[in-house]
Amino acid sequence: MKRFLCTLVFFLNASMSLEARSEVTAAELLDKYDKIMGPTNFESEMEMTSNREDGTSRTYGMKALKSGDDKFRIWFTSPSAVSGQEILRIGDNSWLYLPNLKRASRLANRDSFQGGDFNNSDILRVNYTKDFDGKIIPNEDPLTYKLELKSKNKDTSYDLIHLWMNKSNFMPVKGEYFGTSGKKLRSAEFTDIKEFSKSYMRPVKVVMKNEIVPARSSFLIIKKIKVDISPAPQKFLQADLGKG
Amino acid sequence: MRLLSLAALIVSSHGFGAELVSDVSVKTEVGRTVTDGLFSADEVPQFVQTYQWQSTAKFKPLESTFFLIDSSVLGLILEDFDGERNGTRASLDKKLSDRRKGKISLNEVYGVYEPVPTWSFTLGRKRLTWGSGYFRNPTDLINPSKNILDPTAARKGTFLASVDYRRESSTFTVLKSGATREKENGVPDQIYRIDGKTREMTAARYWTLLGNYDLSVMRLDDNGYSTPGVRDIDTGLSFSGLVIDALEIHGEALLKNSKGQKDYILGFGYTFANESTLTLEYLHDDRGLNASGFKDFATQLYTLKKLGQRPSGNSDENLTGKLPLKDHIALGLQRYKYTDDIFFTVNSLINPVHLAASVSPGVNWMAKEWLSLSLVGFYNRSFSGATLPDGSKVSEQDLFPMPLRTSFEVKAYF
Repeated sequence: MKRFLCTLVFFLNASMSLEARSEVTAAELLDKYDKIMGPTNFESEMEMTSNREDGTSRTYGMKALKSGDDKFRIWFTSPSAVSGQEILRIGDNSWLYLPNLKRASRLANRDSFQGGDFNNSDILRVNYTKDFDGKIIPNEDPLTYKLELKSKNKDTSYDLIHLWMNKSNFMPVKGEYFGTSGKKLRSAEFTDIKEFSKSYMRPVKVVMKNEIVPARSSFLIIKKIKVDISPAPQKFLQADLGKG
Repeated sequence: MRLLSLAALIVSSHGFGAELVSDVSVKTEVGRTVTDGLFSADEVPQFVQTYQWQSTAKFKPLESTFFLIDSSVLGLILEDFDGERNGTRASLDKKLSDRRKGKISLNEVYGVYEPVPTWSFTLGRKRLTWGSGYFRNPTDLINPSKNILDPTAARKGTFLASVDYRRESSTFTVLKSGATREKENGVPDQIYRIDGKTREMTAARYWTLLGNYDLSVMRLDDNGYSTPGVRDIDTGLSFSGLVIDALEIHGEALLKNSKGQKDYILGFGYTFANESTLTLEYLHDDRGLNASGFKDFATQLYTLKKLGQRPSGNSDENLTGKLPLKDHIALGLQRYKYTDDIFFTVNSLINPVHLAASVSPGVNWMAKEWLSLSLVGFYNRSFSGATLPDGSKVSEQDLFPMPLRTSFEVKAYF
């Protein structure tokens, strides 16, 4: 009986580890992350709050529209001082439209998003499959996969990312973001999973902590999001900026 | 009442249907004029208090229709006028109507109609900037020119009708604009006509994104729009692109076809890790003067001064909009971050012919999400200049009526 149980445990273990190896690859996890955090097309209402070193905070309201892998547009709706500002991204090009200047100026990916702790690329360029090579690495937490993502192009804000994803629903749980020097720059937590539609659920809240200045952090809240849309390509032209 | 209810229903039925953003500001400018310069400073106040209510209303009643009204209501107190009388500086008396002014400025009032995504029609007063220049836009013959030392302040547009044909990564635009004559209070009342002829502009632009560079090619038929009675068909070119993530290069040129004259800028913007941006532009306009031409110009002004006939009223907006010399360098540092809410900005206009510069440093404190305070200075310095008959030297910078001044502004957003 004991020998039978040992044999059973051995085969179960072997089959489970085989299943674990075959159930998911790093590329599949990256694809799932992209589909959750940056669906192909979506329109949303978001709010970003930035907590600063002096204890004060600033909150920005915005609408966002994404089309495919390369096109993204944001309209800032609050506070009044930034209302009317817009951001447009086409591929590797991003512009900030300032209503008092009546024209668009180019933006660098590494710039912080409205002075907060997210970089422009954290918001405008969620495509880890395109930007990173990933591998699954050993992890102490049995409930999550741990991925190590290495940048494969110069336009990313981070050189290396450690990303934890829930094994049961593939939702991102937390992330650590490193610069080229190997220094940890940011860490993120993804919380409040919500089913926005029958086919789409995602974390409502992303908290980004600044590891260089620990007193600083920002969080992004997705208030509404629709993924079953087909945005008009003309919404992603410079000529459309400033036209509401 | 029924109309109001209907309007409320339309607004409430569209999540982003209507939006009103306003700010009120109080600005105090203090300076000291040069009373014995080549231009008369008699009309230049040394104390200006501006009260302004600026508002932008957007209304999108239907997905295909968009309206915008950007207007300012201004109250001005102008005091402390000095001039030169009998060779000495003297305080001038001005009528109350010259010292108190009210103005409504309709900066932009336009509607956009997009029956299908590929076509967009715009009608009204709009500021439409096609070129990539930061300090100056040679191809912008349509709008009121911007002040190089305060390039972000420009917001007033021009009356136009335009049509955009929009493809996935390109846009073709055609527009027609007529110059307008404005009343003293800022409200335009008629299309500008000279000898029965409308001063008008017909222009077309093709914009596309080629790789990581955006390119524009323009054709502008300027029929007395810029200069009454003079017709010119110009070609415009503009580009901008990121060379590396933080370094942007740009250029913009206007080729005056009939005269073979060129007006162009070439520049770059570098964004530092602290997100401040250094912008440098070389500005060249064939229509400007070289060193000897400027000397002749200054000598003529000197002669007029000796005859007691100095030209009057010379604001730096006028000067920087149409600079006398042909070559300049504009250098600026924007949004140098001291804290999250305090930013420094410096804009400067360098005149390499006379080793002279106008510098405008400023600091902006975003004290609250709804409140900003800003302090801006202006300073001129010349190390050389054209030699006048009396042996004195005068540079382009010496033509500015107020070489030293400062302004303080408090602005509340709501």
